[in-house]
Amino acid sequence: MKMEQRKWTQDSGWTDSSKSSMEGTSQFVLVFGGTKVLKEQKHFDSIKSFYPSADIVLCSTAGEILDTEVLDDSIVLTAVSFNSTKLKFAEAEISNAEESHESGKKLAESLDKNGLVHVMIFSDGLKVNGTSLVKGLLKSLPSNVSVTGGLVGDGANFKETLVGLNAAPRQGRIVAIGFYSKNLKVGYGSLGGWDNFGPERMITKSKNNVLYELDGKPALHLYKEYLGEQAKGLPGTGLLFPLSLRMKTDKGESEIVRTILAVDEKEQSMTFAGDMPEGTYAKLMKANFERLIDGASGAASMSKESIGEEAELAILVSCIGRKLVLKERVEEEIEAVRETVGKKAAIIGFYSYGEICPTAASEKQCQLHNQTMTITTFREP
Amino acid sequence: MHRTLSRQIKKFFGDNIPSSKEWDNFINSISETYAHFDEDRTLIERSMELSSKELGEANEQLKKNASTLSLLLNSTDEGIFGLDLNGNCTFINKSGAKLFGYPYEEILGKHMHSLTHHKKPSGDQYSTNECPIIQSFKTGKGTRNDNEVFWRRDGTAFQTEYSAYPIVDQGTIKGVVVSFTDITKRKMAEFELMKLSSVVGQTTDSIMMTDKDGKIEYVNPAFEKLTGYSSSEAVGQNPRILKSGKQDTAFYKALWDTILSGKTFHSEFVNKKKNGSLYHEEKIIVPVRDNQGNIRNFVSSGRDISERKAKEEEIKLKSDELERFNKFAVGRELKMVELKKRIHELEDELKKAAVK
Repeated sequence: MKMEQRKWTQDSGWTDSSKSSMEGTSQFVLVFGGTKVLKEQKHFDSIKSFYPSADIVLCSTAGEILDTEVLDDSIVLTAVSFNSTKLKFAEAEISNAEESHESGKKLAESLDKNGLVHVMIFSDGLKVNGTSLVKGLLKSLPSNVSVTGGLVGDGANFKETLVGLNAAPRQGRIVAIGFYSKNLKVGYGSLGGWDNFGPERMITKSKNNVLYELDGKPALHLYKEYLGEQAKGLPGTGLLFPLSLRMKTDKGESEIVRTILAVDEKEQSMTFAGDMPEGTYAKLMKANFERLIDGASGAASMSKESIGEEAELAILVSCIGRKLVLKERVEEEIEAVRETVGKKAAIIGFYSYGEICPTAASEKQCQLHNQTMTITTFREP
Repeated sequence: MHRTLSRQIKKFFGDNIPSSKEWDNFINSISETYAHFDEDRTLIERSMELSSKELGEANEQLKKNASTLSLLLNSTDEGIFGLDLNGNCTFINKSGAKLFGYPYEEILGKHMHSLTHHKKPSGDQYSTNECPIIQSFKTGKGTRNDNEVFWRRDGTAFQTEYSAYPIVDQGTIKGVVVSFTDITKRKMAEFELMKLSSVVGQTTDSIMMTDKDGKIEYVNPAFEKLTGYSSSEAVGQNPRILKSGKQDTAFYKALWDTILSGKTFHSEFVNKKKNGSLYHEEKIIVPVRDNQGNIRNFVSSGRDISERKAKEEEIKLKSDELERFNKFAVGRELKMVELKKRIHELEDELKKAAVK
């Protein structure tokens, strides 16, 4: 497995604009960048010129991660050439959240299942109901195939989230990457680090992933009260107080975290990254600094557990909410990951609007997470 | 610039503040971090304050709810107690404790089956495996029972009707709630009723009960035997199934006028059996009133007097014959007297003629 990383910043341009040693061999390039810069055709053209034979996947972000650095409005990329692993790609268009389940199903259906071991999915972060997307995906994938990925971001703006495959990225797109191999080792882990606080509140009015009322009172009002001055930064600042839902599942009760994607002043409603069923109990959550960092290294440990050895490539999908809380110290969580995955691994990632990963290293069935650090690691003997 | 930072710079550098683009960027970045820490602290302080206010209010509300609930529980005369999954008492209301004869505190935490339900009405040991209350933990289904006894603190028992339902929280059984009453009085009344109904069942008088509109609600076995109609055939019908046509409409009008006015009607009827044959019945019809004094039912009790009627008929026939015979005998006697009188007159005439 060969890799090469590059980054572009407004101040310095491309770190290395010379021809790549992997020019003819790179199979696949994973690109994360700020919404505004990633839209520019010239950047796509540059990347294409570096790696003319590779398939290029591009995602807008709420922050780019390269090695242990977190950047904004930059472009980071990792070009990969596997020894024997083959990749296949599928893409879908989506115009509203209602189509999420169907889109997930279609994507999974269009991937060849023969030899498929893992799927990474990168989806528009605003037009999608992540819960439904994941359900749709799982419906048409064999149960031994693991899925990880995320809902891409748009800084703290929540206006347009872009995904692209071999073209400049656009809104309303979902790309799935299928990994086909006999010996590729894939590890994954996902952990949060948030604590519940305050009274438990019942969701009294909602529709799919749109929340109207908690305990019969407008949910938006509650958030404004808690945020005080920072309410003017909604929906972004709403991420400081995610909601923890006590959901009934087949296996009993489980706690699921939901983050805000949008607010609607007229409707007094808030849109979350996943379903908000009526009758469910919810609690506000707040970050615990130490636990956020522990969560990141915990997720890295989980991914290490399933891969067994040191990873060669680690793809990080971390929630924008964590970045908003950690602020200047955001890189501490990446450093914590680095310490656990080891010095050799190439690290690339982004801050997202939702993370997709199985709940345990031993499981394959993925779920939509919020507010977590989610890590997918690869090693090819 | 953040005020704390600007004070610190002044303190350490006085007026000799370094000036360069790097220095400015560096200081700005520190200033921003200071500001962010301030924001965080404000947010945390604000949310702590709000959350503690909300929790305080929720706590008040809970207390209020708990006291309303306890007021409700303690205001009913029905006994109510809760059990955890081990069968131990988690709460009991005042009436419940009173019915068992225990002080409230003494009963809490106790294994209720061992304390109040350990013996059957017969006095035999009652194992928890048989106890429907304990079983409702396992089955998750409610149960209702009125054939058991609960034992008081003083060793006496009372007959009880209880219902036991599992306490289910978020799909998990957390315990059982039992509500019960002392039904000793009701059981005694039922026993009295049972005695009475066995009398009705065994009497040779035919008994029929109708509702206010005359629809038959009950007939006893003697009715079935007398009329040939089974209970299932008769119930729901009108007593006119027995009508023979021997009584005129005036008779029935008098009957209804009497009983609807709340009085007892007593008369003899000629009625018709299922097989068409006629029978005589001496019948008494009594209106039955409810607690409000409204007539709800009519009960008739009848005795078959066909045999007596037949005998009376026979006696009448014989006495008529006797009468005729008597009349005949008396007539003859009178005629004899007349004849004798005539003979005497003739004899007297003859004597008189001979003297002349």
